[in-house]
Amino acid sequence: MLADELKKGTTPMLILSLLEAEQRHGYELSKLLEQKTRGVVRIHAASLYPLLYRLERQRLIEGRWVEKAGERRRRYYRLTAEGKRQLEAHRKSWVEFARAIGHVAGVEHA
Amino acid sequence: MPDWTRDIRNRLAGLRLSAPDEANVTEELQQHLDDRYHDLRSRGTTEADARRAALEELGEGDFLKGRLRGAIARPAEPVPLGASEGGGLAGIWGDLRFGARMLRRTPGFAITAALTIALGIGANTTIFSLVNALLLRPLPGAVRPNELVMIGRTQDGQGFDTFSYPDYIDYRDGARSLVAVSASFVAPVHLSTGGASERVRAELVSGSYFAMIGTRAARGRLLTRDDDGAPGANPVVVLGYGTWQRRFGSDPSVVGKSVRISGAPYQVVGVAEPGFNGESAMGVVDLFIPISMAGKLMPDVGPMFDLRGAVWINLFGRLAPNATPAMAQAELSGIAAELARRYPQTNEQRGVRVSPGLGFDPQSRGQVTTFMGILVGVVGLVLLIACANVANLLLARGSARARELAVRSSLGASRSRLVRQLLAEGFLLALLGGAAGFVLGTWSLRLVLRLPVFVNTFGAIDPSIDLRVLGFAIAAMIVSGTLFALPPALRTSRVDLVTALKLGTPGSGDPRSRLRNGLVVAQLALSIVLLVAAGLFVRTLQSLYRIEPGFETRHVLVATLDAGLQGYDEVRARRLFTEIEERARAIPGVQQAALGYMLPLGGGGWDTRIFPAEATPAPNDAGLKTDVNAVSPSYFETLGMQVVAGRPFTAADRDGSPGVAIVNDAVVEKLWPGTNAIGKRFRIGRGKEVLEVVGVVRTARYRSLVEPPRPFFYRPFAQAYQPSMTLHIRTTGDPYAVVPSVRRALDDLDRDLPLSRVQTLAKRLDGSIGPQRTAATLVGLYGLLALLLAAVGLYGSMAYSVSRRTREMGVRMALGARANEVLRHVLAQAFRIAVVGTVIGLVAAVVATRYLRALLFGVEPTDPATLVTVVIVLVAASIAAAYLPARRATRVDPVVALRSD
Repeated sequence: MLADELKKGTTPMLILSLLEAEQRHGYELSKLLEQKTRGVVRIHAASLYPLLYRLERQRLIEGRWVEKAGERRRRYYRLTAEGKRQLEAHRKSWVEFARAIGHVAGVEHA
Repeated sequence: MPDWTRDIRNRLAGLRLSAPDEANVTEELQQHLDDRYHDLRSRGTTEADARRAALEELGEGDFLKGRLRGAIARPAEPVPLGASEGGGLAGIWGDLRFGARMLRRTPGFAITAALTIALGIGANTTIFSLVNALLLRPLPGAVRPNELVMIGRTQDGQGFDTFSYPDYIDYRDGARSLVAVSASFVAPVHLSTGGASERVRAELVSGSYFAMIGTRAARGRLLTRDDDGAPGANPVVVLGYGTWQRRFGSDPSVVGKSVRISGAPYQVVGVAEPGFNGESAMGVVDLFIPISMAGKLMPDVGPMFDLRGAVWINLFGRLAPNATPAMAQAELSGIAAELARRYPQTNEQRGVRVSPGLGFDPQSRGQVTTFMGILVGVVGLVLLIACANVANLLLARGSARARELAVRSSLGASRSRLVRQLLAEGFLLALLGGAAGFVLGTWSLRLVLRLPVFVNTFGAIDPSIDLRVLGFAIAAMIVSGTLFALPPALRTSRVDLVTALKLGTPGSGDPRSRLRNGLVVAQLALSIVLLVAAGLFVRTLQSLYRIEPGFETRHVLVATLDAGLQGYDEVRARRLFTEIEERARAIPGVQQAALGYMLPLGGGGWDTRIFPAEATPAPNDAGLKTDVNAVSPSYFETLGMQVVAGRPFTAADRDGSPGVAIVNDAVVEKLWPGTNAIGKRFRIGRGKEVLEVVGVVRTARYRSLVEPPRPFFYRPFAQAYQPSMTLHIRTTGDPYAVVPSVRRALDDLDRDLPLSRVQTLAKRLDGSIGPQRTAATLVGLYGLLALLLAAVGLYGSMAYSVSRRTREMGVRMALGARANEVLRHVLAQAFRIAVVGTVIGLVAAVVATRYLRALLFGVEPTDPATLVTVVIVLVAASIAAAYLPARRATRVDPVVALRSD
């Protein structure tokens, strides 16, 4: 239950983090998410794309169709300046949150 | 590779995504599923399992739909791509549909703008309907009305007057350029159909009258040349259509029936076609009677048929084929010159004037045209103000939509395309406003037609709406639509991409603010013109109401008894009048009652010339032109007129005793200045009759409120019999409350004698200033409407321009300016705009109000009090309009202001 809620709340932040370094397309994002969390976070297309569209609407990310030679065109997403700011803010509060949880629950944080 | 399209589309069904959105989403999901399937297959999963696993990505049932709802980012406005440059009808239709969508999205704006235009177009529709009914629409019941002419007599080259019967015969028989010349004479008669009798308007016409105009009969026949026979030989009557409906309940068997007209039997031979009320627009004719019956109906008219000196007949004619009014004029002038040579005693200075068209004689037409012209100008200004208002609204909306327009422009929409789009919205507003205004206008026309001046002056004004009125409304709609939509469209479509997309706030150098200020200036100027006009009429009314008529008006009821028309001889009539006067005096609530021949303030009068009796007048002495009235002894008391010297009439001043008169100050001043007039004697005309002055009264107003002091004298009714007298009743309470008692008293004496023109003198006084009152009412109302529109517009544009500068004010205040200073700065700017508008408005007002002169009284068009008041009101209104939003703006926290867009 808690894990589900946590995931739901943190997925946007994870997506923004994955886009921080470079622009990526949807499938790539879902694979990276699965790999980097070692299978803890898995997101279906039915959840992923609506989330991407929502973030796009909030002007945190920007999507555009990119055509590469010999390939089908794909929609790549990248972080906007506002997205970057949001990500930083999220990160800060996340660290504080995690630290607070750690204190309360008696978990040493890594 | 499996095809996922169908699965994806099934899950998107019902989301109502736009076509491009749906295509994008489908393509992206399809790729995702392809990738997934490909991955699984490459890891050795079976085809069926890989397919199932990939489809799991789409989730169960409506899951995807639920997530997508509200998630898709759409551009601020739908941008029609592809067909965007579509020209022709399809493109315009698209523009209109899109415009309608945009308007539906801001109903407050759409309703305000449409309503504003509706008020403007409504006012114009009303006034144009009147112009149309009075001046443009051809005479109802006339065939080829452009061939018809009115013929008037001139005296010394002036005027447009009546002819003598012998002159009529000479013109009729002499004119080749006219196929017919008809004569008529309008007179009141008593119509009795068994029950009560009623005073109605009859037109006595020559036999050629109906055939010349081309009127048809609704029932039976009309009058023909056969009815011209010997005097008194053809007691027949044609009913006006309205009379037939009203008095005879549209009885189809009315033809052949007998009615009594002024006491004598007449046979109804027909009913005129509906809408035909006689050839004059100045009153409805109820009955048409052969002119050969005139002597029978009015005994004093009988001898006039043979007198070339007696002028009493109106003439009309129809031009012969290929003849012009100018040809008729030349020919008739020739006949007039010949008559003047043959009969110098009567026709010396007489000329003739031919005026095209029936309905109004040239003088009346001129007056009506002036009056209607003023109203047209007023409502034109109202419409212009309404247009300025809506233009301002559109401009403000244009600023709000700058981003949308910039997006569309950046997507390749050309400027002309944007202008077209904005114009389409304007056109829709004009259409909405025009339709509502048309309804409003036709509705308010019925209200305007109830104003006394229209009821009293004109006959039946047909309020029906014809194609001309509809065409006018459509033209007004198109013109106003172009006026209010084009300038903002041109301005708004000049998109500065960078600024607009940045959502930047334009500073005061914004070109839009110049147009907006221009509109405010124009509104102010137009309002000033209107308010000055309205103010001048209010001042005119004030001056008119300040005039003392010289007699009591509020508690005096008048009612006319025409015994002569009812066939009374002098002896019987005298007895009737004396009897009814006494009975009226006995009615409870009646203070005093009297008889008088002339009714005051009716516009006309009974005049004569008098000479001092001491000397025989020289042959070239024209004497003193004086009005005269015949009254009973209690007349002066009843009307509250003080006899300042001598005595009132008494019962001793009877028929056979020495002739006496009471004169007014003006007579004394002219004939016996500086002396006591009592006992002086004067001669009426060059006859033998000499009257002795027994009393003097103050000069009052007799024919109209605005006349110069008019010489006037009174004779005792007993010494100057008239067959028609008016009962004057002074009451203590409501004058109309005694009417039933008066009628009952009269019933005892004669049930068939109608009591006509029953009203109070106050009502007559109001009627005598009818044109000024109507002009003041209408111009005042429309002026108020304009002021309201202008005030709303002014407030709107001031509020808007101040709100656009909230950021600037924030900067100023952040830099240390105090709220008061900022406020003063904004107000100073508003004041500058107000001053420019006021100056332009004043100049325009001084030019425009010169055309009002004909209807003004006691006030100059450049009346300083009016001008100053209007200026103060408008400048105060515009400062107030700027003050409220400016104050709100200075209360904003500078930080918030700086952040605001």
